Amino acid sequence: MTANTSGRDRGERHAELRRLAQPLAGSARWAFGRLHLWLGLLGVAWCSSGVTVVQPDEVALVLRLGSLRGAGTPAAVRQPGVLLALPSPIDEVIRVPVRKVTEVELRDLHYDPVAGRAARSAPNRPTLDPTTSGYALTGDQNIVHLVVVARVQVSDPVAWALGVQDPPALLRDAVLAALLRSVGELPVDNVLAEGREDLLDRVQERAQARLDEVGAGLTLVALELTELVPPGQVRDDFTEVQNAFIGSGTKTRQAEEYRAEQLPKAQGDADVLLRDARVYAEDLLAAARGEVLAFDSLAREHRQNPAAVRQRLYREGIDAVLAGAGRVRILPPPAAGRYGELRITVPTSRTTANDDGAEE
Amino acid sequence: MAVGIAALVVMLLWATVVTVRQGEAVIVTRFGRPVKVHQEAGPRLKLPWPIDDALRVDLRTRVFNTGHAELLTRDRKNVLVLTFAFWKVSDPLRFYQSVGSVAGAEAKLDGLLTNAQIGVLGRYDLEALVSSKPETIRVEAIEEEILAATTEVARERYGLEIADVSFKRISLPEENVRAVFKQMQAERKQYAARYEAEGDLEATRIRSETDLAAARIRAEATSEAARIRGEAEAEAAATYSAAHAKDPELYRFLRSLETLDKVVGRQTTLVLRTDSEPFSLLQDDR
Repeated sequence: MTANTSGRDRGERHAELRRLAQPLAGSARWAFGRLHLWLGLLGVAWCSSGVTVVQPDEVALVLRLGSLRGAGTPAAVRQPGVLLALPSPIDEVIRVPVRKVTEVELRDLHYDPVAGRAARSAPNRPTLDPTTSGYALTGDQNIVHLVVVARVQVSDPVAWALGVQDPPALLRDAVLAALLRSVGELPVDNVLAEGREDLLDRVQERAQARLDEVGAGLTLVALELTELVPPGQVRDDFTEVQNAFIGSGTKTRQAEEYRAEQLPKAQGDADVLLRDARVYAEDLLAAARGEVLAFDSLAREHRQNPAAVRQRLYREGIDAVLAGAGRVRILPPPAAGRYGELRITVPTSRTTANDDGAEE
Repeated sequence: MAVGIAALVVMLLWATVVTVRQGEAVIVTRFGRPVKVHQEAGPRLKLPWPIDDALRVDLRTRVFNTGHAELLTRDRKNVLVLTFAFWKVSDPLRFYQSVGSVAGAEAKLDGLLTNAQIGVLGRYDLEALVSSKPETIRVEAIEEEILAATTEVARERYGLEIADVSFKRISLPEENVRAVFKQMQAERKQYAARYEAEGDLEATRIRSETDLAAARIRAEATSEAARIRGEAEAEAAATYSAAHAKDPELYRFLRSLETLDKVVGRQTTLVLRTDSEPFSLLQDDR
């Protein structure tokens, strides 16, 4: 309000304000007159604030004035459904997700414990700083990096909710201790290769025993190795072994292929040899039998008429000989005991080896 | 009026009732001096502030991790271990009076565990922590000894109960890691060489066995074939001689003719007399 405002103006404004505020004041009076109603409503709301719906994947615990209702009995764990609890601060309802399986990734033994932060450069360093790069020592004092994912479920809602301050931290340390223990009793090659399943079983068993001992109310449902590698500083050497292993397998396989090829081939050759021999034997015997039959019939004939048979055979034989001979010379019989005009030309033997097909 | 009375009652309750929650203890102090420890869960009475005050102590199990501590094993090897302990407050009053807070308790635990580790690990070789020979590993015994060395002091002096102790990390100093890498490399090279040699050896073995087996198969077949041929020839010869024995004269005659036929060939010149058969026919005609 400015200094030069007159008194009359002020009076007018007051009246106007009062007129404008009248409905507001009226409703305030109305509301105040029904204060008990509001308080009653508030009371009902408060009283019903303890009613809780427990979802199907959880159970609930009720603390009445700090004390667990039904402690030590199965009734302490309230199953899914509507839970009629008293309002706060009398009752406190704690929900426990018992059916939910939680995944916890453990990177403490990895060269990059905080994913993505440390260091792609880690393999370039000639050594490892245990405060920034995690690793586990194997039984033969080799180094491996690994990442494990643990799947856990609440098995004891009371212990989980009221007995342990930070269940995930307990789980983490129990699994890590079991990992160190189990990796530390195996040689690196078992850890990296065939030992994996066995390794995880041992880790799970040991970690679970520790959790049970301390009453964490957690069950390790499963463990999974998501990474398991030798240090980057020596990874090439491990690869080399792998290659040598594969190479040795290849050589063996090639040799086996050679065997698979050569043995049947030899068997095939053997079969051919035997078959040829049998064919030869069959032919030979067949020929012999044939000839014997022929000889027998000839002999029968010869017995009946020896001269005729001999004569015929002689003729046939001589015909064949004469037909097969290269040249035939005919001379008159010697006169007075000597050959008058016989001249024998002997071809000059150019070579002795050339005994077949040579022209005379 | 009724509302006012109700508000007053609530305020009075607020000031004089303390609820002890499951999993915690409440220490009631009068002018700062502890007068009562409530460990049973439920409502408890106290005088209003500022006469009485209530301090809550968490009794749940907690985890504590030491830092990396470098220790010397019995076989003079340096190891860095990071230890964890599962612990809880077992005596709230002693805890409150001696260490006062979780942070205070952790400082005490750190000292206790570190000392115990130095003492216990100094009595064991590195092989007791990691070894390929399971019988040399003594991790459980080491845990027990550390626990035994700390648990009494923790309980008697600080009101803490250490439930479990173990190693969360076992590492080597950086210089030793270098040596480990060298050793790992040497081992790998050795393995690579061995695999290579084994592969060669095996392949050579298979090949020579194959060659031998193939040669044996062929040789057996050759000798079997020779036997078959031989038997056949013997049988044929026997057949012939059995037949020929029936008429040796005819046989000799046939053999002579055969021989003659074989001897005389394309390059043979036969010189015959005109009075020999069949040319004698020519003479007779003349």
